[in-house]
Amino acid sequence: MRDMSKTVPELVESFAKGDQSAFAELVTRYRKKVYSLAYQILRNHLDADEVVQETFVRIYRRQKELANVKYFSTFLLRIATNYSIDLLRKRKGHSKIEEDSSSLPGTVQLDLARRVVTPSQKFESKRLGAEIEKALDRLPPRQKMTAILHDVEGYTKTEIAGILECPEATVRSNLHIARTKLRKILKHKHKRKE
Amino acid sequence: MNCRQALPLLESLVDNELPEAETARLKSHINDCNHCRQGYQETIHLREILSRNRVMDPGPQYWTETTSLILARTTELADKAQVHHLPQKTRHYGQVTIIRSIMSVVASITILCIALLIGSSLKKQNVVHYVKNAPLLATTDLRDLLQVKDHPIYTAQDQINLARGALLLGMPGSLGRFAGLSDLFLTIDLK
Repeated sequence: MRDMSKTVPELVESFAKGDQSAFAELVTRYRKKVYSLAYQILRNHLDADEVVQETFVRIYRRQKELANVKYFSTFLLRIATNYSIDLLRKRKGHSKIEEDSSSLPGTVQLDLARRVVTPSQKFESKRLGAEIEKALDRLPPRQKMTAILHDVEGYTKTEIAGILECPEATVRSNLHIARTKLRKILKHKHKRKE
Repeated sequence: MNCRQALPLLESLVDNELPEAETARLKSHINDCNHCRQGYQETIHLREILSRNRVMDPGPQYWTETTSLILARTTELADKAQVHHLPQKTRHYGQVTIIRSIMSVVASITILCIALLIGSSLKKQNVVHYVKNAPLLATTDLRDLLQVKDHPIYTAQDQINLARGALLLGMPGSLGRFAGLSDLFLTIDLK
């Protein structure tokens, strides 16, 4: 039974005191955010799944620390981001697995198949998505992270500064550089097609 | 507003971070300037593409399974933490056992040392006692023992030598074994 009445700080406080149901509720509330962020960075369902599980296990291990944490969301996403960057670095040596829906687990494939889109929409979205992914992959990890967190996931610059543990000015500068590079890459591709 | 002032503000305009007055001034410049307008439109387009690039939700069944896995892993961690507490107690108990063993060994050694000390002091006392008694034997006149004071049996020197012989060699029964006993007595410094 989900405890929807409690706010996040209340849940964090209960969990820090040892309430296991509060932890389960925190997992339910934040699992999608962690998955989405991890998937944006790693571009792989299995890796994103690993990040989700490992992030919450790490949170559980640091249960007592949580009493002193001001913003749980920032703390959680920082763990997820750091673990994703670690995985990204590990995977860099290996050839990148181009994931299509057939490599996803059966239950995930079934869910994705239920979402009906027109073939042209699907094609256009897939083409643009692939272009953006390639362009993002060319960016250094910090700039890539900043662009994903701000422009894809919609976090504010203050939140990103907390997640990436850097000054807000650095976030602004990284975002500007990332956007300029992405614009150039996309512009160059469009020119070549024309 | 010119292009040098406008270009660094384009992203802030896209992110809705500018005050109203500045937004109005910048927008009026963008309307008049092709270069800045292109930069503004490209930034908006990029943001749109990026925001469309959101990850598809893997579905409720995936979340149910993953959440169960996470909770199973954390329950396992909690169990391990509880089990981990037991060896700590055992370790503490083990430390006490080791201290007890050391203490018993130290006590044993102390008792042994005391026993040795007592033993050695007793031996000394015996020697002292023995030496104390020895002159008595050496200085006893055999004539007194035999109650023949008028007739000398042995000289004083003979008595001393006899006494020493008895002291060194034990009971008189063993004296016969030593043929050179008289020579031995002669070599002893009488001082």
